[in-house]
Amino acid sequence: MTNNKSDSNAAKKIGLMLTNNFDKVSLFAEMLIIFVTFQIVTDGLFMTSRNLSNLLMQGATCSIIAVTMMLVIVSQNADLSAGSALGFIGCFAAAMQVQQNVNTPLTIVSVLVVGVLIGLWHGFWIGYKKLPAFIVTYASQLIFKGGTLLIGDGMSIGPVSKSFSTFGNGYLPKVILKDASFNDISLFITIIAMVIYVVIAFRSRMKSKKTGTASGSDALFALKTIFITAVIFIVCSIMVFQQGFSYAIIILAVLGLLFAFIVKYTPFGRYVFAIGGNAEAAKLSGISVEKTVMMIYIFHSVVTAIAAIVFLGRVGQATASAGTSFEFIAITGCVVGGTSILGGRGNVLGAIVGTMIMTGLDNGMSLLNLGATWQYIVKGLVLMLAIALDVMSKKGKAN
Amino acid sequence: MEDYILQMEHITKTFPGVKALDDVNFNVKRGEIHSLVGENGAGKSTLMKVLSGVYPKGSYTGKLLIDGEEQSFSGIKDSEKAGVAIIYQELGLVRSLNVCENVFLGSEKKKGGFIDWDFEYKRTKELMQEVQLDVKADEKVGTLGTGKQQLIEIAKALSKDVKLLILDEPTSSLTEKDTDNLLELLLTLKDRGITCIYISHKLNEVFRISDSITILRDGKTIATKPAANMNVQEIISSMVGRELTNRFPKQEHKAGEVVLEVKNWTVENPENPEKPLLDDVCFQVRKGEILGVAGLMGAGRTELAMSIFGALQQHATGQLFLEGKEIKKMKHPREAIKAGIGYLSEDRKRYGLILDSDVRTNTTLASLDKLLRGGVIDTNLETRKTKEYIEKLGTKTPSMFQLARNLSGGNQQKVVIAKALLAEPKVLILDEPTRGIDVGAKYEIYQLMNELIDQGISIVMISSELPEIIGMSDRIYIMYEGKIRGELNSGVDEITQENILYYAAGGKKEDDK
Repeated sequence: MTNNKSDSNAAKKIGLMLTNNFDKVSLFAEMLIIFVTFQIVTDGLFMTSRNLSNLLMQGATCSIIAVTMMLVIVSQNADLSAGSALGFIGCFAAAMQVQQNVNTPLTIVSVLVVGVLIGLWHGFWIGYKKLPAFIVTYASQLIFKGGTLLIGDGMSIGPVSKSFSTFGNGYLPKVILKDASFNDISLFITIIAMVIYVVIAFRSRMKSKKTGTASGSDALFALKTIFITAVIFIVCSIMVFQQGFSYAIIILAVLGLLFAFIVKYTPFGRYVFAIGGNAEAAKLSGISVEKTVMMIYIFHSVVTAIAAIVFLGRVGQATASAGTSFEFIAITGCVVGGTSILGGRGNVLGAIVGTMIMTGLDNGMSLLNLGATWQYIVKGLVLMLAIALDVMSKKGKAN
Repeated sequence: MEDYILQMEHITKTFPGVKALDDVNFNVKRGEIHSLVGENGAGKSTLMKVLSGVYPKGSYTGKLLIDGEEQSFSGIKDSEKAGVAIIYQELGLVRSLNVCENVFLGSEKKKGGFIDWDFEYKRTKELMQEVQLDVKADEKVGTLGTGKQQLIEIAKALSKDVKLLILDEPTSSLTEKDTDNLLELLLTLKDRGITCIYISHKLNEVFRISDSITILRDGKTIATKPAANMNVQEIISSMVGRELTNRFPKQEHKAGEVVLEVKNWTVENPENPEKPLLDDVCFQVRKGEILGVAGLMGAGRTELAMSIFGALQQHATGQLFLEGKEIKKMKHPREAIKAGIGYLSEDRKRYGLILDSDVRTNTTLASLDKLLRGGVIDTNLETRKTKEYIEKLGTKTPSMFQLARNLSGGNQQKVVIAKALLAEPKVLILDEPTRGIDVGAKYEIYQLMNELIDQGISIVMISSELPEIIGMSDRIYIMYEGKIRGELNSGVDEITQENILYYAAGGKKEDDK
C-alpha cells in the first residue's frame, strides 16, 4: 500500500517536473524523434560521428545567427533580412579580398563595421521610428539581395585567402599528441568545460540553499548535473575524435556563452525580455524602448556579420544565392528551442540546439536524397507546428 | 396604466465575486428623456449592457420587456432590431471611412447584392439635416471634431429607425457649445417621439433635459422620480448614501515644505484642440502628506500624473518644481524616476507588471543601475533587496521566482509598489492603488501608505473611490474637465462625499449650492 502511494507520488512529481519544463522536454523529444527516425531510414548513415561532426559544421552559421535572432524575437520584433544580409556581407568581404587584395584582419574589421551600420539602419527605423520590424527587414532583404548582385554582378567571387577561410573550415591543431587518433587540445577544452560546469552548478546550488530558494532534492540535482556533464562530453567527443573543434564551433560557443551571460546578468538583457513581455510597463519602469531595440539590432547585425565570415570561410567564395532562407532556419530554430514568437520568453541554448535540429532535418533529408520540393514542405510544416505549440502552450498558461 | 416602452424588472447580474446589479427595476415611459445617474461602478453601464444584449439572456436573471413584450436578446444585433441603439463614451466610428460609409457600416443598403451608394448618400444627406450637422456625406470622419462625430453616431442610430436611444456619458469630451447642440438635438428628437436614456455625471445637464431620473447605487435602484420633484442635493446624497465604517487607518500627518509643485500645467488634446486634456493646472505636494486627487472618469487625473511622469505622448507646457528648484519637464519616465518621482498605473497588469517574469525581475526592473557591480547585475544583491521588500511589504508569494501572473491582485500591487520604492522616490503617485483588490489587502496598502509617509515620502493618491479618498487623504484636489476645481483640507474644510461630488460634477466655489 505505502509503496503504491509513494510510487504514484513520485510519478506525480515527475509529471509535474516534465510539464514545468515543457520547453526543454519537448525540445529533447523533438531531437530524439528526428534523429532516431533519420538513423533508421538512412540505415545508420545519419548518426555516424563523421556525419554529426559535419552537421555541427553546417549548423554553425545559422546557429550563430540564432543566438541574437532569439533577442530579436523575444523583444517582439523580427528579422527577415539575416540571410540576405549574410549573403551581402559575404559578397562584400570576398570582393575586398579578391578584387582589392585587402588583408584578412582589415577585411574582418570592415565587415564588422558594415554589421554595425546595418544594425543602426534597422534600429533607427524599428526602434525610433516605430515601423513594423517585419516590413523594415523585408525591405532590407530586397536591398541586400540587390546589393549582392551589384557587387558581384551575379558571378561568384573567390577564392578568399587561406587565413580568411580558417574561420570557416579550420580546426584547432593538435599540440602535444600529434599522432593520436583524437585532438588533444579539444579534449583538454572539453574536460575544462565539464569541470567548470560542475563547479558553477555546485556554487549556485549552495547559494540558492543559503537564500532558501533551492528547488528539488539533492539527488535530483546530482542526477541533473551528471546528465548535463555527460551531454557536454558526448557532444564534444563527436568532434574530439574526428578533426577536433573547428573555429566555427568555437565562435558559436563563445557567442552563445557571451549572450547567455548578457541575457542573465546585464540590464540590457533584462530590458529585452521586459520589452517583449510588456513594452508599456517597461517604458513606465524607466526603460528606453527605443535605445534597447537599437542595441538589439546592432548586436544582431554584428553577429550576422560574424556568421557571414564563418560561412564565407567555409564555402571559400561568395555567390549570389548565399544565405538564402537562413533567417527562416534561425527563426524556426529559435521557436523550436523555446523562444516565444509572442515575445518575452526564450533562451540562448535552446535557440542554438533548435537551430541544430533544423540543420539535422536538412542534413537528414539530403542524405535521403529528398528533393527541394519536399524539403520546403517539411520545413514549412515544422515551423508551423513549432509556432502552434508555442502559442497554444502560452494560451494554456494565461488561463 | 402608464405606457412604458422599456421595463426592466428584477435584473440581477453577478460577476465572479461581485453583484454588479442587484434586483434592479428600471422603467422608461414612451417619449420621455430618462436620466440614469450614479457613482462610478454603481452599475449603470452593466444595466445598459443587459439592455443592449451585450450580456445575453441567461447571463442575468430578471425580465426585460420592450413595448410590453418580453425580449431575449442574444447580442447587439437583436436589440438593434427591436429599435434600441446605444452610443458609448468611446465613439464607435471608423476614422478612416467617410460619413456615409460610417452611417451605414454593418447595415449596408444593397441592391442586387451590391451596395446602393446612390441611396446611401441621399439618405445620409437627409440624416445630416435631421441632426443639424453641416458636413458632406463623403468627408472623412477622422477629420471631424468629437462633437460632430457624436452627432454622426446619432444619425447612424436614426438610420436604423431607433425607438430607444441610449447615450452613455455623451458630453464627457465635448466643449460647451457642442454640448448645447447635443442637448438641443435630444429635445428635438423627443418631440419626434424618440425615447432617450441619458447617462451622465453632469447633473446640470441632467436637469436641463430630463423628464425622469433614476438613481443607482451599488447595483441597486435607489429611486425613480420625475425630475421636477428632485434637486441636486437630493440626488447627490442618494448617489452617495452609504455608511462609512472604519475601513481606513487614518493618521494625522504633519505636512512639511513643498516637495513637488506644478504651475500652469497645460496639455493639448490632439483630437480636440478646443478642449485641452489639462488646462492650466497648478498644485503642490507637501512633504509627509497624502494628497488625494478626486474626480470623475475623464477628468484628467491620470493624464496629470502621466504628464508629470513623462509618460504622456503630448508634452505639457508649464513649470515643474522639485524641492523648490525648477527642473526640466520629463520627456521619459526614466528621467522622472531618476529625479525621484514614482508612478503606479491604475492598470497594473497592462502598465505595471511583466506578467511572465518572476517577482524578483519585476521588483528590480526600474533600479538595475543600482545593483550593478562592474557593469554586471549583482544577483546576490538583487536577491537580498527583493527579499527585503517582500518582507517589508508582506508580499505573499511562494518564492521570489514565482511568475507575477500567478500572484493575487493585492500581492501583484505590492510587487509594483516594491519596484517603485526600490527606486527611492521622494514623491510617489498612486493611481487607483486599491482597484480590484480585496478588502483585507486594501487595508494593508493603506497602512503601507502611512508607513511611507513616516519615512518621509510624499504620496499622491488618485482614486475614484470617495470613501478611500476621504478616509486617507490629508488634503484633496478635485478635478473636472482637465482643471482643478476645488481643494479641501482635512481639519479645515468639511470633507464629505457630497462636497467632493459637487466639485467633481462641475460645481464652482462661488456657486450657491
